[in-house]
Amino acid sequence: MDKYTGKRLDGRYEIHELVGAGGMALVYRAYDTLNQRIVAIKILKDEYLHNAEFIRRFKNESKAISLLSHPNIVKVYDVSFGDQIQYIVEEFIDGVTLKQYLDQQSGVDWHKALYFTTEILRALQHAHERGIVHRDIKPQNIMVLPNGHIKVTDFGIARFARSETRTMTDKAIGSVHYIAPEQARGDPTDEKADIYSVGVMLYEMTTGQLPFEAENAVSVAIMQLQTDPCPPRQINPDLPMGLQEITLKAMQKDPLQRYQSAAEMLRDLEAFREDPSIRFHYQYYSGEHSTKYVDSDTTSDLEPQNDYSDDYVYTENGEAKPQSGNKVKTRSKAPLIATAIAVAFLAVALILALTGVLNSQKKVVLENFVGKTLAAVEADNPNNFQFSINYVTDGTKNAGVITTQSPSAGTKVAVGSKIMLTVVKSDDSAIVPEVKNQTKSAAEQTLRESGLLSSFQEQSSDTVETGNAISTNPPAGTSVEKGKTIVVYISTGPGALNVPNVTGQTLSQATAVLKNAGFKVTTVAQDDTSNPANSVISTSPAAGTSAKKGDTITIFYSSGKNEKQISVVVPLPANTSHSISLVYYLDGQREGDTTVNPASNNTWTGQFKGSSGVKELLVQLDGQNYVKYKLDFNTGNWVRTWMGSYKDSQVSSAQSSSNPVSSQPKPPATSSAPETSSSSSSSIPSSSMPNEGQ
Amino acid sequence: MFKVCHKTDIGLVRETNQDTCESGLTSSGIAWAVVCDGMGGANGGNVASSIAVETIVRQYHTFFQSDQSHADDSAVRNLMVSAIHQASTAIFERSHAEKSLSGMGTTVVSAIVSNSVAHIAHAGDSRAYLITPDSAKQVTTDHSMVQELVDSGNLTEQEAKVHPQKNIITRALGIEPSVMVDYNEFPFEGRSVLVLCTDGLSNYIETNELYTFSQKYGGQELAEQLIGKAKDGGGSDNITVAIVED
Repeated sequence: MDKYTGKRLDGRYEIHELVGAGGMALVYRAYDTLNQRIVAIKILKDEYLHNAEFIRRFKNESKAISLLSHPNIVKVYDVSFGDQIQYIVEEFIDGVTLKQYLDQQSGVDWHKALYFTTEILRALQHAHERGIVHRDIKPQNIMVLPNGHIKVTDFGIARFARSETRTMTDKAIGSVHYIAPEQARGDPTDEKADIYSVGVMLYEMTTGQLPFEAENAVSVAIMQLQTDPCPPRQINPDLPMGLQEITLKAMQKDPLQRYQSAAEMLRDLEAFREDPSIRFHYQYYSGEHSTKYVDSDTTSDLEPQNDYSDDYVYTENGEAKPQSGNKVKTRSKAPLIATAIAVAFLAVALILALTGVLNSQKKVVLENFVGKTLAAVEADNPNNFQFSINYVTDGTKNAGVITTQSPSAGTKVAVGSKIMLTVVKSDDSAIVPEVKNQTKSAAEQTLRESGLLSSFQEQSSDTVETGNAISTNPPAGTSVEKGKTIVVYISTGPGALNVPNVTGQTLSQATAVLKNAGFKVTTVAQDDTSNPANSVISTSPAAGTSAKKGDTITIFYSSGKNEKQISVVVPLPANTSHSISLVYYLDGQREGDTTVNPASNNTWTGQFKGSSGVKELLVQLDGQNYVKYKLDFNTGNWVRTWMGSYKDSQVSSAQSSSNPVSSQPKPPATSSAPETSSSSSSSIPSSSMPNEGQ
Repeated sequence: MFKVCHKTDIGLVRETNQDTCESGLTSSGIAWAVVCDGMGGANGGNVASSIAVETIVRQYHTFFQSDQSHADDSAVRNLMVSAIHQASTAIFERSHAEKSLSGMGTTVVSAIVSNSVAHIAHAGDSRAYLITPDSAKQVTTDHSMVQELVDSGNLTEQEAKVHPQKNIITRALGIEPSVMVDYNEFPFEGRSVLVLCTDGLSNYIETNELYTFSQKYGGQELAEQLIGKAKDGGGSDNITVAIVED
């Protein structure tokens, strides 16, 4: 029935029995007569035989993968592409897949999850360092050995299977439950997609369920893009917070907010293992701008902008959820109060001291001034009293007569002290009466009785009821000519203030002005190159509008710059399927380096930030100048200015069929790095793989 | 009086043509067409799309022989939807009967035009376009992963065109025991043109280009011009088109 069992491949591999079938290949246990060991052979299904493009890409990637050698990666020994049959020879794993293991165990405790995840990440670290991305990390691709260790299999292979299938059955599409959002979108992916998948697996292991489930595969894919996972601790309250934080960081929708490498995630896992009570306090920011959270001890908080790019519809994530307006952290009030009290005490003490000094003079018995005229009393003032006069209108008495005094006559007072006198004002003048809290009409009446006219203005008041008088101008008690018009302020109700106009002021000036006006202040930086840095662009509510005392005003100020992020997509040389070291320079300064493998990823994306200026980006491959770009941070655009070609010094020549593919590549020949675009083509002749043919 | 024609082409890259297509006119002048894009395995795609077309056309013939001029809208609807279901079942059963055909399936887009109404049923990413003297528009929604991503706001139309998995469909005949078929009716007035095609064509032509072509050419020539356009663009898939004109 099965057409391969019992046959011999390549005169060397005896097929024993079919052990499984994947989407793309049938898997057999076989015996390698040459190396005398049991191996696994994956024979590609017939439908892939005739697709030349598929075969070519598959060949390239298999070459790359066969170079991986790590205890946690299933070793590929040999790859063969013939007319009739294509197969991969691998290490035979006697074990179950992680999926089978998890199903049998119905969940694992977090210690085990930690252990599995660590081994998977070590495998990924090894591959990523060689420029190979797996792209299909899921429990079905992880093997659990009898000794408890794990091995990752099917590196990169499933990517090709995906391009050939069309229908959305879960088997065919591979499982969408683990794919990263950028994969669902069809964006270029890199090693961070593997990190995401590891995060999903960690989630599944620690909670016993997948973060995103839906009726069909596409809906799951959409959830990867849009929906935030339910925090694992809500499902499993015993899960330590630190492990939840690690899981959620690995599962960030934006690859730039995830762990940037397997090594980074491993470090956190290690820290967690040493201290499971550790907290990482990760914060995640949404939108395009990199925002800063400023410690509350500075004068203001910077609020991040809710500014979504067109591409993403994801929701905000993580602990720190930005809001507009209301969240202002104020300094703790206690120290201020203490200071105020201290100052008050000091002031009082000072006053007491001063008055004490003044009062150390002799005391006299206060005479009676009542009934005397002010003029007379002031003219004859041997004790040097200071008179404070309060005028009243009293038609019954003569003008200038003192009607009351304080302290009263007979009191012992110090020489030169202050004496309050009530004096009758002359008929030509009136004293502005007190009208506070009187209704508007009553106040008018009161003023008329004093011989005064009134005009009214509105003012807010926290204490006086709406419609009632607050105060007058001139204030009550002032002596004015009869018939004068007094302004009466009528209350419009509590604390409506006008927002002062602080546009154009510096941020600190504006903050002070607003605070003095009784408002609370919060500030937001805006990318703006037309206004000087730190100058206020506008406020919300706007200047002149009505606001209440204690309201928070948001100041929008210019950051003075407009930071842009430029992503440069660099095409890597085709037909190369080994690791290449890539180094990049910005205006001659070395910015960074990485390892790439074109068979796994045919582009490399560099991300650069800047707010102004033009810089030159130079990319070197294996020490050779490869391509140059001009990055314009004024506009955010980039353009390629020069392209050389990559001389591959690791061309593998055809070897005798007895040599397995996994021999070490030859050391690179010394290459001169041409500055100008090179002459002859540097494409590698399509190398024939060993063991080709039947 | 309607004119109807169809043409299929293997394209420039594929080694086999897994599209199948049929069209015709009944004796009472009703136009019909069926276009299927098969998938799966070395020859599974061929088998699936052939089974689909054969099953559906047989149903159509039976219906029109017996009930010619009284093809009211709901009768036509029932005809089309049940014919497609039958086709799906036939493919499903066959794929389980023969190992080598396991997993095969096909898209379908079919039209029956009578009494100024175009009845269109489809499942998958093969399309129908309705062209009037003033405009052309796609009147079927692709049942594809990228379409769902676009609909949910995660992808723009432009991005959908270059998505690496843009050929992944969410509905097909023969893959599962049952299939959901979309059915719609559109007015089909004088000088209208209905174009049914597989993605081998729609991947290479914009709707407005389709309009331009339809104004310049008609009938068989239009079919050939459209196929030529797809090949000029690369022709990486089988190209099939059926045209119904008033």
